[in-house]
Amino acid sequence: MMIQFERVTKRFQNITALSELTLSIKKGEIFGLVGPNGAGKTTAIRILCGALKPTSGRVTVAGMDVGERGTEVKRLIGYLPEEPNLYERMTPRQLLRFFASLYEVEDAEARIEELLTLVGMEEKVDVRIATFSKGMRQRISIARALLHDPEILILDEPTMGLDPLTAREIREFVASFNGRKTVLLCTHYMPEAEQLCDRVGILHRGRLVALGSPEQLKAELEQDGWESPTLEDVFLRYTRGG
Amino acid sequence: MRVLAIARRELWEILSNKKFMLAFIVQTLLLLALLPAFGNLFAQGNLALPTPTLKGFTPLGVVVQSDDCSVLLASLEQNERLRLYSFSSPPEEELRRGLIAGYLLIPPEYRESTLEVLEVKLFLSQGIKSSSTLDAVKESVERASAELAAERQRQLNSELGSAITLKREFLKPVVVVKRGENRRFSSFFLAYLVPLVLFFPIFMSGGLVVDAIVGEKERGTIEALLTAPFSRYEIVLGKFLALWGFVTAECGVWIIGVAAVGVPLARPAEALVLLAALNALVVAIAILLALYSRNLKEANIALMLFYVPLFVALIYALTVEFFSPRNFFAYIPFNLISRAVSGETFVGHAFPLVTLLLSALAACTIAAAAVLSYRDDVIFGPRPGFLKIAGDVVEATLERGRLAGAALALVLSPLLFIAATVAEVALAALMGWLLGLTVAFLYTVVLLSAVVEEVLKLLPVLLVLRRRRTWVSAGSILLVAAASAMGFFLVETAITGFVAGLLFSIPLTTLLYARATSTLVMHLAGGMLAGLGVYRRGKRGFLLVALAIALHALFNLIVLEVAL
Repeated sequence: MMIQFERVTKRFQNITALSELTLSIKKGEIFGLVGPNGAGKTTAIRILCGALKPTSGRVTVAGMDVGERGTEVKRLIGYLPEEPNLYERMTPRQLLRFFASLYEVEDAEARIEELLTLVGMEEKVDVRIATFSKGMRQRISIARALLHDPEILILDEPTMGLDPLTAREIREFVASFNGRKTVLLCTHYMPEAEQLCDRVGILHRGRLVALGSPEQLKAELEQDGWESPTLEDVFLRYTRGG
Repeated sequence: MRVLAIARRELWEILSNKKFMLAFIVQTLLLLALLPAFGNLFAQGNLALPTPTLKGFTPLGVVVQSDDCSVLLASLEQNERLRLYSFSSPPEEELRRGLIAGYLLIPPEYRESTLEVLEVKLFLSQGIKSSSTLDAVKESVERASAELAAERQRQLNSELGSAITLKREFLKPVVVVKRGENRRFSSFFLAYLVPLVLFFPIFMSGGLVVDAIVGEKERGTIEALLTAPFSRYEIVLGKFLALWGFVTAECGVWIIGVAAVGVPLARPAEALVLLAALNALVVAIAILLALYSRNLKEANIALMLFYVPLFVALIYALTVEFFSPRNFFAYIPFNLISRAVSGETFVGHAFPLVTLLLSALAACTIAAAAVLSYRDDVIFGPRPGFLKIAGDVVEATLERGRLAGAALALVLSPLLFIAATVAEVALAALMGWLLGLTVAFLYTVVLLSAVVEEVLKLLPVLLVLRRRRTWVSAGSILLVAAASAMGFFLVETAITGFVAGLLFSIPLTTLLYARATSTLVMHLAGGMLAGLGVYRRGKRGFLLVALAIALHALFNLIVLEVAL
């Protein structure tokens, strides 16, 4: 298993953001973590990335405990946060150079050129990020997440707030990783999860309430008497109880 | 390397901030334009302004009418604070014009070879702060007096307390002439205004710190940093290095600028070293406050509450040092910088000591900020209260074992001592009100203070026993109790020593020796007995605590009897 959550709980004072989460993600799999706002998706991701420490339980990545070998684990992960917050005064080239120095990327200049071409930003390399649209920022964020060629890609709501064209390009981009990288995709846009993910886990109030491939989850609903259910129906059933 | 990468980026962020850099350039240009103007004003001002902290900057007239005053004259000449001008008759005109701060009259009847008590008169201008001139003259007269007294004692084999008396007289009215003939920079300009200018970058560092720490949290850019492969302390350290480096460089630029416009800075390198050390501490505290703040508004308020008292302290320290120097103030960093600028010598090892102390405090503060940065609730919220953080630190420390528990007891002892003092003063006030200032009042207070101190010394032991810990045993509890007692004794001795030194000139070592053979034994025995009592619980435990209090009370009573 590439990623394993073992009975992970996270509390913020009196609020339990994540409760006893147990989950395994295979190497090369695109896994969708879905759930309504406040379900604990971002908390789970932050724990996986080493940005948060669990109150109890443990997370392992490629067999390494995130708490004990955080620095090594972080080298395996490329993280795209929900909001593409970047240093506004920098240009894409400056930003990527900075992160390349943090990740100690070899032959950084060539890698930066390659990635900026990949995300279609090669003509904006020396323009200040402050002037960019959200879609352009998202592309730069993706380039930043891929900079050190990580084995695992964690994408938190990668298409939220983007125009349909950019969102589609990003989805195609994610789909292209299938089998090559392990992807944890966080979203509450069900068609996206249905289209891209091999398996989906539904989080609700910090608990994993459903787990399986989109087909399996829909089949379960069909057995319960639903007609041609969608993943959205599955989502609503588990999160609304309807 | 990663720390340097973060520091470089932070520095780049500051340098690319056009508004900030523009403000810095305008401030520097204004400084360079205004400083010579101020310098001119003061250069043409009144030299008789009290100038106690500067070598040779207290201009004093000496009217020598006696031909037997070599000891006093030699003593006056040895005094580095004085610049002497000889006159054959009272220099009333020079004093009126403000060219001298006062004059000392050595009358014809002053003859050091006689066995009479001699008298000299010091004439000072009323209206100008004259205490510093008086202090300087007093120092010389007392030195000469002691020398003469010793000589007479040697000759007569009899004791004579004082050989010379100094009479002070104020002259009035005084007209202070604003435009004197001497156009040198006055000491006020060098010892007060120039250091004040050099501190400006430190007081302007708040905005940079807020932007670097809270800005990163508010803009959400911190998330990408936290998921990069390095530790949080590296982020804090990188940011600290950049901010500290930039503010120190600002101070350096200002020093060069001030020197470039002709201000004669005596020891600019030493001033810069001290400014760098002071900067380190101020920036570190600002980072700690900003890290704890939830948003920009809160951080700005917190930093304002930090910088305003700091500025008041700066003004107060410079003013006291300038107008009425005291030894203690010679160790205040602001004053050391003032001395480096004006050429006044440092007291003892004040320069390396204060530099080291500031650097050590800065390192501790940055370490505390780094520890704070590891808390998820501080970075992502909801923010914990001070007590929660303190409680967590105590718990984490106690988890490390008995030695950590003993260390914690030592660290807590200043707080326990303060709490004990407050409680004892309150109880004394209450008893005074109930019993009046009688002998019974004294006995009651010393008995109550025994209860208060023994109970408060137990606090670290109670913290240890609050949870079941694997390392807790009778031996480890005795260790923690002993550490608590030792810490309490050390703080008590240090404070008593400071007061005794101040009031009765008793050396700290003498006091330490006297207390180590009596009070320490009582504190250790009492603390360990009480600690064991709390550990054992039950009737026996209670008896042990009572025995500890009784022992302490008995000791206090013996001391009181001796004192009475």
